[in-house]
Amino acid sequence: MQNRREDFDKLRREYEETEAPPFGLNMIKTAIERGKADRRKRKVRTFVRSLSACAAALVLGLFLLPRVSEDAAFAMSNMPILSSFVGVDASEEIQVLSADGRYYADVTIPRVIELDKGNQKSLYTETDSLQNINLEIGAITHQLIREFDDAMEQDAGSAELVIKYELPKTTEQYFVLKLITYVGSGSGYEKDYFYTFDQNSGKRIFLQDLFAEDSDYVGLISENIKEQMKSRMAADSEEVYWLSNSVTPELAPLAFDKIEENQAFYINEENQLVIAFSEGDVGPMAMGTVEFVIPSEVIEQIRL
Amino acid sequence: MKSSKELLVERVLIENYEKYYRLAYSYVHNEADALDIVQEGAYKAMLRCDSLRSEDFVKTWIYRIMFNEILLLYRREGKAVSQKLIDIEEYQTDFTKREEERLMLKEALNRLPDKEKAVIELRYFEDLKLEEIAQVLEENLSTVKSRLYRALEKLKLSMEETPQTWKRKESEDAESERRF
Repeated sequence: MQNRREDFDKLRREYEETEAPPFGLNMIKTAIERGKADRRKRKVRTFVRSLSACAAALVLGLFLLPRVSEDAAFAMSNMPILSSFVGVDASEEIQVLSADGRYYADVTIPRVIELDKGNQKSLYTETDSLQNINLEIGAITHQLIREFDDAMEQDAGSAELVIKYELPKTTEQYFVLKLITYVGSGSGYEKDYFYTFDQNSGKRIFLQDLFAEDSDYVGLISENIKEQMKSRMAADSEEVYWLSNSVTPELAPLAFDKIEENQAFYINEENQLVIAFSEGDVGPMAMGTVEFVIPSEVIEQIRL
Repeated sequence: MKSSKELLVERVLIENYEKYYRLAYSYVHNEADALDIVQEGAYKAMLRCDSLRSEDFVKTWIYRIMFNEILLLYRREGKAVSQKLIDIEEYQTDFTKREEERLMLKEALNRLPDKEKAVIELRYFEDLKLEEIAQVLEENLSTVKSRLYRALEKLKLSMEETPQTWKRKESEDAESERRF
């Protein structure tokens, strides 16, 4: 093991000793000058364009009529939501198994859709929010599929890709989709994505949307999670979380300090906040993905 | 009329040209491609210097541009090409068992996914802080941390062996048999 560290130091020295050719500096300077010149050209063009845009807007403004937003009217009417209006179907399914078994993919890509309510008008004229969720899911999953394809093409060893989804139970107000991705090549890695959608407002909810604007939800939640980590480790020696007072020095940068402002989360059926971490985020990969239910009393003062 | 951002970006580019070259070279393993990457990166950095939000971020902002250029060229030309170049340059000489081990480590480093490799190199070769790396890769700090941890696991590298890390590793090895 000691050798490994020495080898790594050698790699570092090798890296540092890589010499950039002296004529390269002139090439950089030329590229810099080119950049400056093009930047000046752009500035002139943008200015001219914005002048003509202003002129056009003045003309159009005379002919635009005010429109009442129908979904805004609906939202204000305080109708109770009786059942789920948002659902999921599978937009793509892919299965791959190579003859020698080294390449395996089982992919189901979910798509959130608005359920048909018969004659009732669509609630979600702001369907951008549903569309944005689907675009994001598309970007994530297509990237993973591309990487899997590349791995197969270059035939470097083996690759595994599993994509599926679950619908965690939640209250009637919300709709939650959990996108599960698992990539394996040697050792495997699971990463989950959560999408929480508020059916009353017709918008996707991010963590910050649940709390009053100046509240320290990050601090309150993080402190509670640290306490839960300590209790879990005390109760079960198999559980390991990285807390600053219980990690070795080199793992100190990895110690859990605070959640992100837009940390992954969802609302469970008891209307409680559940915070989710990916493998390797707050503890060793072997712990898998971990979740913490935040007791209501911790955040009820600031929760909207 | 020169803006202060333009002057700053130009100065940082010229002062750190070798750093960007080294990072690029560690991916493409040949001078011509590395130079292409750094030139293109310098051009784009100057072109877009107005979008630099704050002068404090100039270092990571330029690294981000350079890293994106690396990815553009690297993914276009295919990793297979640069891998072949390593094989040629390394296997021409005789080597001892120790050398073999070192090459395995080098190969493991080169085989890491692009961003994991970036985290290792930026952290241990360029001494960037994790927060800075998060800015370069445009990711959350927690994502960077998990990349670092994953990469260290793949390289089978504990940066320091202590009884505590041994104990944790034992329970991890048992757990890693668990299937999805």
